[in-house]
Amino acid sequence: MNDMSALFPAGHRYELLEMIGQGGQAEVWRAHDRKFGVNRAVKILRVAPARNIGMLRRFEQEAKLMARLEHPHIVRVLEVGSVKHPDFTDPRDDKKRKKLRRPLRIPFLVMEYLDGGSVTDVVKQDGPISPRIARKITVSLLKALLYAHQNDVVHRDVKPGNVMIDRHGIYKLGDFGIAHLDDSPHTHTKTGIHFGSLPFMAPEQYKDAKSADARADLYAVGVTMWSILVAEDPPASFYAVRELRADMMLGMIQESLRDIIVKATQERPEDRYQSADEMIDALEAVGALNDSPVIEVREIPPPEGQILVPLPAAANASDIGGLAVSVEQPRPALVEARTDYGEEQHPPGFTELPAPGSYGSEGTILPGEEEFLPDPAAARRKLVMLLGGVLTLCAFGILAIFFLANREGQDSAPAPVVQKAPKPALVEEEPLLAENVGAIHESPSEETARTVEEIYEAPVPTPPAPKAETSKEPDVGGGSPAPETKEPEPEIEKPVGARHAVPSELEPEPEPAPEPTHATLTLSGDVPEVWLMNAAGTRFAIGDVPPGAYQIKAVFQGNESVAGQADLAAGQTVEIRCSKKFKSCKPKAQ
Amino acid sequence: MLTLILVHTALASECTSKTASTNQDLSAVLAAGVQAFADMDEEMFKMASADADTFLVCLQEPVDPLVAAAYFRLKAMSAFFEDDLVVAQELFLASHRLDPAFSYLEDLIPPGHALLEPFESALVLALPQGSTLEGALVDGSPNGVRVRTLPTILQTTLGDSVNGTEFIPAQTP
Repeated sequence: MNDMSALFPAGHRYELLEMIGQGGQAEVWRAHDRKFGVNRAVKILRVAPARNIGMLRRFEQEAKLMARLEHPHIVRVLEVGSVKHPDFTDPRDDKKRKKLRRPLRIPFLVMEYLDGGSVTDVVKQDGPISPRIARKITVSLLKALLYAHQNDVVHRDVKPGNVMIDRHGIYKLGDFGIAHLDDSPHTHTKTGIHFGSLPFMAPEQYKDAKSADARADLYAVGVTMWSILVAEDPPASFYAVRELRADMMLGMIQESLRDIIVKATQERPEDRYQSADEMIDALEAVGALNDSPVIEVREIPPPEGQILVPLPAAANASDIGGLAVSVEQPRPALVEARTDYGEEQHPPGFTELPAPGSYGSEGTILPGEEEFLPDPAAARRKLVMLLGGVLTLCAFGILAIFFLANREGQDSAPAPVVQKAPKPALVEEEPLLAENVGAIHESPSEETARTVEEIYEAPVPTPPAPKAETSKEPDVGGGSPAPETKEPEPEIEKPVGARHAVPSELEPEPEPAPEPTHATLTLSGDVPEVWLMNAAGTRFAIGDVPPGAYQIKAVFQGNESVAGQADLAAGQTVEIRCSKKFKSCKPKAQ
Repeated sequence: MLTLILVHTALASECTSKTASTNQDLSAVLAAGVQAFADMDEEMFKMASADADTFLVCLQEPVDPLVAAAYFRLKAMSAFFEDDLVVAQELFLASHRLDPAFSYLEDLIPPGHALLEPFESALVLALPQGSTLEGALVDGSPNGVRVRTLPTILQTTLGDSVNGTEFIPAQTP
């Protein structure tokens, strides 16, 4: 079972819709939250790292970190849980408890889904970002980092790809996968392995990740700023290259921003900004910034060629969008007034990102658009119509909620003859952490206090005597265990929510999958003759091979040589990618 | 990206910047280059190699002999990448001369890898005789011995400071 979506069956709260990102260790999926009817981003650890206790700890650390960071510019974690993988057993069971054969738990992390993509996506699509928007992105990023640093968290992987944009144009920092807790005695790096993205990495972080403090994040912010302003990937050792090629690399950047980039990306941490706060001050000194979610109306005469659209005085964003259906999202700004009119002339070719609140209410009309707004009164009428539209939509939303609530009530009424059970779930959720529980969980269950290690170390609990059957209904929303009805972890899985089901109505219980005995290899690249050889000198063709350590061998220009190494576990699917030029092959777990 | 790579090439022969680079800068890109080779990341590998050339010619302190050895090794990897095993061997020999104890980490270059063929064959070659170059730094050593059949990093000095650094390929007069 390689498709993660199969781990989240029909009865589960989350339906995985499409993979929107993947790395070596995890996949991120856009998922439909059946409970709230909204999209979520679900980050799921891949099978191979899930069988590695170190990776599990890293994943858990990310979950812990993100759950404890609540900030408007940080991607919110809403839930953390795990699903059972029927094809694999717990890695601890392999070694210590062979008889137990508990299924492997694949941890996942549910985050708010930001449909604006990442800043990298925007730059790739539209090219350089204008100085004004670049400043806004950077300040948002710095505010997120200031908060993280105040909570003793160093992100360590700041880059445009980790800055996400929500539908209202709010920039949010995500992926704390390699973040470092200042007070943590552990580090997840070892000699020769560098987590993080090299070109954005401060020199001290490259040399010794442990020594990287908050100022390493500020270095990465400086490189990020450069990268989005010029729409180029930064070179390795940015700090040195930008000095060597100052004209080429910084010449096109506005002088005031250039100075900030240079200061942020100094080689020695003590020469950089010492805090995110300090860098924000520098950016704000460059131009008046306002990324507050509250609309501000200023009597600023428009520059030539621009007409201001009057906005309702002191209106609050939440007043406008106050009837939004979402109950757990912080209310984002719908409108943000520009405060730096005419401050900058954007160089040709620069792109304005959709500004925060860019629903046609940003406040300025570009030259050539005046004809659509002949006078301020018309603009007011337009705004009133817009507000009317929003209110109408909200009213429909409320009606829809009432309708759905009534329908749910009908669904949960006792069935007259046969109660249709949801499809038996092969998996069940087990929350990993207590502090991760966001607004979705109303109260944490006892299970939530367990760490990954505890889950793996703890003996299988003996199921208590079954409680009197009550009228507990199947969880319509899917897998989340109801906080007050915690169930012991069963040794034999039962379909979630199938207690009252008539057996004949259920789909047949699937046969337990046989324990995998081999790893599956696929070949990619431009080298046709590739095989594996174990320590005993036995040769294995690409395909299914027994688990173990192998040399990857290949023929390059008629000569046979070692092209790489692979350590394979049973059940793994591994792609062997080979390159003629490098005369190398590299395994990549799928 | 293409622009940057082109700039790398243009700058490789002489330092057009007023800013000095350091051994530390050079070490960082050399390490990045080796990692990129191990990762089979062609773009990053070429970029790191070009950056290393840039940093070398802008080096305004005596090159550390161990850094010089690492520079030769990265150049050797580039030659290997271009299937020029003769040049790769020359460069590895120049590297062994400065850092005879070096061996690649198995995680990066596994035993038996084709790259180790020129690397190991260079180990058994006899070091040719050279001549002392007065008034210049040869591979970081003042009044060092330059072997004409081997690549060299030559630095000229003005007073106490280095005012020019150049990579001299083997067989260059």
